[in-house]
Amino acid sequence: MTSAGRVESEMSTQVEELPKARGTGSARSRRLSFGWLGLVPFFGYVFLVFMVPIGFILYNAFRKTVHGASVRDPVTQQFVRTDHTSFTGSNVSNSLKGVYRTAVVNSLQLSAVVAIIGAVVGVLLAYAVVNSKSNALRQIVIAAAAVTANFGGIPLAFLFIATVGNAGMVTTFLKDHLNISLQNDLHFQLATTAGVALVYLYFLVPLMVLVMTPALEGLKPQWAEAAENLGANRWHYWRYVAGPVLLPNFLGSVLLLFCSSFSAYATAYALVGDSFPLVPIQISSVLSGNVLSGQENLGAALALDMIVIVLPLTVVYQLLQRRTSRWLA
Amino acid sequence: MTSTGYGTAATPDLLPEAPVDQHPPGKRRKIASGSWPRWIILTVAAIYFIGPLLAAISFTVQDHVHGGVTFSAYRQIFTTPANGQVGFTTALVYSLEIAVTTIVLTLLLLLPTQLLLHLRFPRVRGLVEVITLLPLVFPPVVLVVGVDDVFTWVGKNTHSPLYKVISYIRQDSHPYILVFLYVILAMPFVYRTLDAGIRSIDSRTLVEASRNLGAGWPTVLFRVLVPCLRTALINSAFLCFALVMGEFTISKILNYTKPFPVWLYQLPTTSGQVQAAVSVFSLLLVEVLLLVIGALNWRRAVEKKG
Amino acid sequence: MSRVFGTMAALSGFNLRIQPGELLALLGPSGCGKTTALRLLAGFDQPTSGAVLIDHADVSRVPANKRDMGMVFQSYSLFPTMSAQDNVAFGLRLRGRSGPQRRTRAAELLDLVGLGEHVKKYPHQLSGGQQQRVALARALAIEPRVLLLDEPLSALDAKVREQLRDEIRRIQLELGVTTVFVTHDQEEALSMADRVGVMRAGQLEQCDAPAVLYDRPATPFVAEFVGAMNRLVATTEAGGNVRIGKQLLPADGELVADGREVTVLVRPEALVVTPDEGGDTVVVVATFRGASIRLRLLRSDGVEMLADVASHRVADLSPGRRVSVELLNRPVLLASAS
Repeated sequence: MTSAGRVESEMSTQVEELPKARGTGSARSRRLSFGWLGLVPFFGYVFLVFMVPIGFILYNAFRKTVHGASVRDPVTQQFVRTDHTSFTGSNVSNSLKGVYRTAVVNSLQLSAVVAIIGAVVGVLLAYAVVNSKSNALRQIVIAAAAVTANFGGIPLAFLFIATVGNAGMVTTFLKDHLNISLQNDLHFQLATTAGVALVYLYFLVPLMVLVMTPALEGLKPQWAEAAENLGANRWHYWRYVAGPVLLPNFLGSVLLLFCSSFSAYATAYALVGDSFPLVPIQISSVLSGNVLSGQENLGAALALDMIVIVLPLTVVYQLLQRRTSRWLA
Repeated sequence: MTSTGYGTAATPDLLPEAPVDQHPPGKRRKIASGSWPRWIILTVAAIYFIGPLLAAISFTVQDHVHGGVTFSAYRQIFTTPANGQVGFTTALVYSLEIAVTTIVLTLLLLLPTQLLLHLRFPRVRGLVEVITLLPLVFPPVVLVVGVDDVFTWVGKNTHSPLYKVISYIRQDSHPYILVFLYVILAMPFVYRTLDAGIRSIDSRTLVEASRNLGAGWPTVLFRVLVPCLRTALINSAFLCFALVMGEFTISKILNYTKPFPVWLYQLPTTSGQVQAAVSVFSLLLVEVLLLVIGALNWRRAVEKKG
Repeated sequence: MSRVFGTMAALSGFNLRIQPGELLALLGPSGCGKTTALRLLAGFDQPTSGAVLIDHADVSRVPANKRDMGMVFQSYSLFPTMSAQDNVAFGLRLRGRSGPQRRTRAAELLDLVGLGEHVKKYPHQLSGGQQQRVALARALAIEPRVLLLDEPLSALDAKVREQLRDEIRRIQLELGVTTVFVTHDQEEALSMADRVGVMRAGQLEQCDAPAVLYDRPATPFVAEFVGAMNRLVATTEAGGNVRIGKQLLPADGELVADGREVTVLVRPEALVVTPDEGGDTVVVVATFRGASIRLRLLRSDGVEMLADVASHRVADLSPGRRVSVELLNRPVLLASAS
């Protein structure tokens, strides 16, 4: 116990604030400009390594070079081709014809199908995990999902080739033991929309699980209790309370899956090569020279097509994300 | 956003944070949880995910000649192919070197920048965050087109210094161009990881406290901040690592043959067995590494709580 | 009229009868089981033995969504995707009321809780206090038989809490709805309720009007939980009296008049403090509380006491002053031997 007492007052008292010591004006401005300098490496790097190439794409997509004859330059005595380069929309229009058109259609179809299936399956899986009584199951599935979502494209493709490819385990098993041909009787082949979709689901479903599990867990138990208290049954709860909360998240995830599969290259390349046209593969084919003369910039046009499809979806995705964070926070 | 074009998809860091659960699992109201056949979903999922792995493993150990089991496919992984291609270890080490360089460059670029942003220019953070998301919008397949275009343009004038520089960084023995591009690819994930770490350690207070005690900036950076950010740095390093080891698109389209995924793809094989074997082997390797890191992280989190 | 009795992990031998139209507060420290009791009433938990009766009908097996009770939770209970109006109208929608009907009733109730202009606002646009008002309106919209409130004010600022406290009481009286209010804040319970049930460790210690609880606490726990209490040593004497220091006072409770030592409980306002240079007690801390001063006193034998005195005496009783302390001539409460 203290020997001296003190009067405590429950009324508030003012505390005097000492003015903060500040540096001199010039020192401050010196510090500030030095700081801006520190940001230059980052912005400079991003500009050089990223913006410039993208800029080239946007520019080249509208450029065409018509090759003229080779003439000897009087000064250097070298042969120089007279080329005439101009702005044109032909690259872009060509990128939507013929095999490229097929590729775009295939890519869009594939991505749409796999996005929806992956989203639905992923949500169901996340739901099953979130509602299980076992904490261990949840940990295991989340860890497994994080690992699986990171599976590289090439090894994954080979995994499936070894399973349902022409000489795959399942294929030969069906043929030898059950006399069913995977290709003819079940109409399944890896080098089709269905086949590639099956493989894509392998990393898209875990991605969906990783996205939706926090969302499902973010559903406050008070909402369910309040709803029940007011007379709601399971249908009412999902229809009016939980569904609307999860919808932006779900839609955003569908977009995420769509863009992921649309942009995927490695898996598709290993699975189908040239037999099933997809936009990323067409791009690499063009870049390796597999293109008509005068259409060299078709690759850029195809890239532009991809950008035009993916960019708006990303913006919508960001907007949807912003909405949900407000509710689930 | 993800793309198997560069091998890595998402990590939990990029995704919304799970809020603290007020009720323990299993105590949810009946109307919110399901008495649906949950086990059916889980079983089907298990079959789909583990099945191909098992099938591939048995595929790789099949002995077509004698029947039964053989590990010759796995042995072949380590033998050097006859046609002049490099062997397993060479390709692996090649990618490893690129990975390490990428990690160093990424962290060197991002960590000081992010600290500077956090401490000095908090308002610019929003802009930078949007920028770091751009590589997700313009996938590797697209980026590499632009890069190829740049090469073509530079190649028109073989005497310019720019040409010399570009040629140098493109060389097979030191493919810096790959490193530079991988840093961009890694940016979204590393930025988020470091950002979470910087926010969580209340950097501002640490800096002010150590400056108050007389520390110069190098001390503050290396002896105060970096040790506190250890987890974030390790996670970032691992993200970069996984990304580089799995990256196929850019290295393939730019015609490099030695990076591991490209090497794997071009492995000559008659039955596909060797390729499957390498796939299984590398997948298991990466899985084990990921689980180990995950377990270490988990243990640290548990220790912190307890 | 509702009645709860039963056994659960958190409650045992719990028996509570609630009168129609009354506001009954369940008060107790954390973990005492008051929320469990409320959830039993609401139907979120089932008792392992015993029953919940409403108007003499056993509703123990009736699921929560059919019990026709309105509940207000501590926080986060408003549906985020719905406006205030839609939140309030939710229960009505489930009961099949038409759109216009729902909107009118919702507007009525939001008016009642003072949020008439905020019908279209969403939960994230409302302050904590406003959200709880909407929650209250929502619970009342279905005209429940019983209104249940689970620490609805705990998450709010002090000022807002006071305001809302009075509002809730006013509305409850106006509508005459039977209400059960769970809280750990005794000031809240005592100021709002018709009766207060004090709980500890799953047991109901006493259930009476606030004044009765304060003046005639049934158990030492209640005595010390509700308001402050001094513990003093006394010896028993004949005639149901105890001797404390120089005073002989009647004891409120059973005692054996054999001169043994007992502990008695005395309220701070029952101590008479006089400045005395030769006194054996010194003022340690004087806390100004507006109308009164709470003194923390230290006696020469080390015993600490709390006394409440009128605030105009602040000058006489500043810290360091020597005083002598006597008890008012009132019965003192006996603490149990434990």
